[in-house]
Amino acid sequence: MGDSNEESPPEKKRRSSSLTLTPILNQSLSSTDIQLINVYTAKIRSKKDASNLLKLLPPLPSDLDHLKRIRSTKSDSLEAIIGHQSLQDDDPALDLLTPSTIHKAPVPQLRPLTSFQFKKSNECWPCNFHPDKEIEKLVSENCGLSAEDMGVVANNVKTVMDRFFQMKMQTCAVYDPIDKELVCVANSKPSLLHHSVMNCLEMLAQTQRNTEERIGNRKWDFGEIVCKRIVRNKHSDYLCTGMDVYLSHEPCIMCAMALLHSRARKIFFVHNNMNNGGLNSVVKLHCLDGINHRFQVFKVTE
Amino acid sequence: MQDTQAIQHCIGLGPISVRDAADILLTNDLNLNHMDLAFKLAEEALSVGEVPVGCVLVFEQEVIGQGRNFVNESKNATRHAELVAIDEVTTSWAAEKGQENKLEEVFSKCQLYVTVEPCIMCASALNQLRIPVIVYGAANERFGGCGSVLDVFSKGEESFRPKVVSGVRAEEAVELLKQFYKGENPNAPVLKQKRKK
Repeated sequence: MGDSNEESPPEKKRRSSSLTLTPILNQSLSSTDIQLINVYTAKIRSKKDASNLLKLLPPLPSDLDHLKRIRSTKSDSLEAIIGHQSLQDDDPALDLLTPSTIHKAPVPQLRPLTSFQFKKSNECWPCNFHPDKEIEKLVSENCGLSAEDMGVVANNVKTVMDRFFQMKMQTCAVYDPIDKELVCVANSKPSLLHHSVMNCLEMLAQTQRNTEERIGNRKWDFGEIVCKRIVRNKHSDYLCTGMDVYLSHEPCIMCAMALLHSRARKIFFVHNNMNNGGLNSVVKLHCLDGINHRFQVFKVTE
Repeated sequence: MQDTQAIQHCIGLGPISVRDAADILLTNDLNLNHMDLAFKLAEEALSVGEVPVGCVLVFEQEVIGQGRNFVNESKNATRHAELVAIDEVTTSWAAEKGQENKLEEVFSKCQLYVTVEPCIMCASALNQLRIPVIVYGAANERFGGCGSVLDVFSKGEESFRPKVVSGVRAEEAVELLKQFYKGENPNAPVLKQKRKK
């Protein structure tokens, strides 16, 4: 319980040849501490009585329905959860239980959301678990990315980090995973609020406004459109629909929300932004309730 | 005084007396007449098919930047009224007045009037510019960064907290938004438009 950090979550760090990806998840998903709650349990007199007992006991309340009702113990007997309250003295279910074994026992308080949490919860009491495909992918090796995809991530991370070291300015790049090419790269400018994300979005918007114009003709002092053809998005979609965004630094709250407004698909960043980071350090925008678009966020460790 | 009624709903204060409202106006040097221009800009946005939000930046009693939503025409989802108004200050106004090097100081003494609660992106921009007084109309339940979805200012440096006055002519602002959403957003992806029906 509490928030001890003694055990580092095994699903969090997965090593590829050169990079490590850490998915930035809602606390409820990344938590590895299984919180416990005490409920009344008792041993069943005889194994034959188990199915009859299930008929007699009231169903588990909704806050406990992630728990299996009955488990077998090491001594090869069966043990059942009674509930938050014990049974009345005249309850017919009592005849099927061993009264002296009625006691409060700790069981997992929350529904397991990942296979890791499921495994850990089961050490305490068996649980029901319906894995969410997307989440299982995120917490699996390389966050579910293929070796080829990891190669793409490594390339794009190198692009933004090279530019960051060269310009000494935070850098953002937009990658199109369908056409498999880098769309644009920009760094921040020293002027107020001209962060790399906003600069990238401005470049992309300009190319959308002038679809006839050859992109190669446009010049910006903070970045460039990399792909040779006219940028996709003929469908008056949002600017970054389906696009992956690579950042030398976690975006500030303004830029994180700008990426959300632009409907980016996945965000990869290298350094945390402890002062004002919007996707990990200060808030996790993509985990807030009420947000109308969700993207996946990964911290990259080189 | 009509102004005093308009700001009787201040964040965290609940309904306040006319005298307290007058106090807030005076001590913060607010002039709610600036909302007239903000609403004019919002109506202009509506007339060209943009989400109707208008914004005015005031420095030493003078309007130095104004903006309305410009998202559809610019194809840039970040061109909200507030950022457009800020850009007008950092480009036109600063150049005209030779204030390019004093922008940080200017913003730290500005008042911002906007018809709808700034979204999380804009609230963070205002926070980074340390704009000390923010007056808005309707709350923004989908994206609001002044408390509706997230209170951006509580996440910033503790040394800086803007004064936020909300609910000024909120009904008018909501009415404009309703008019807009009666017609579909022309730039929303096709699938989403269908799903709404």
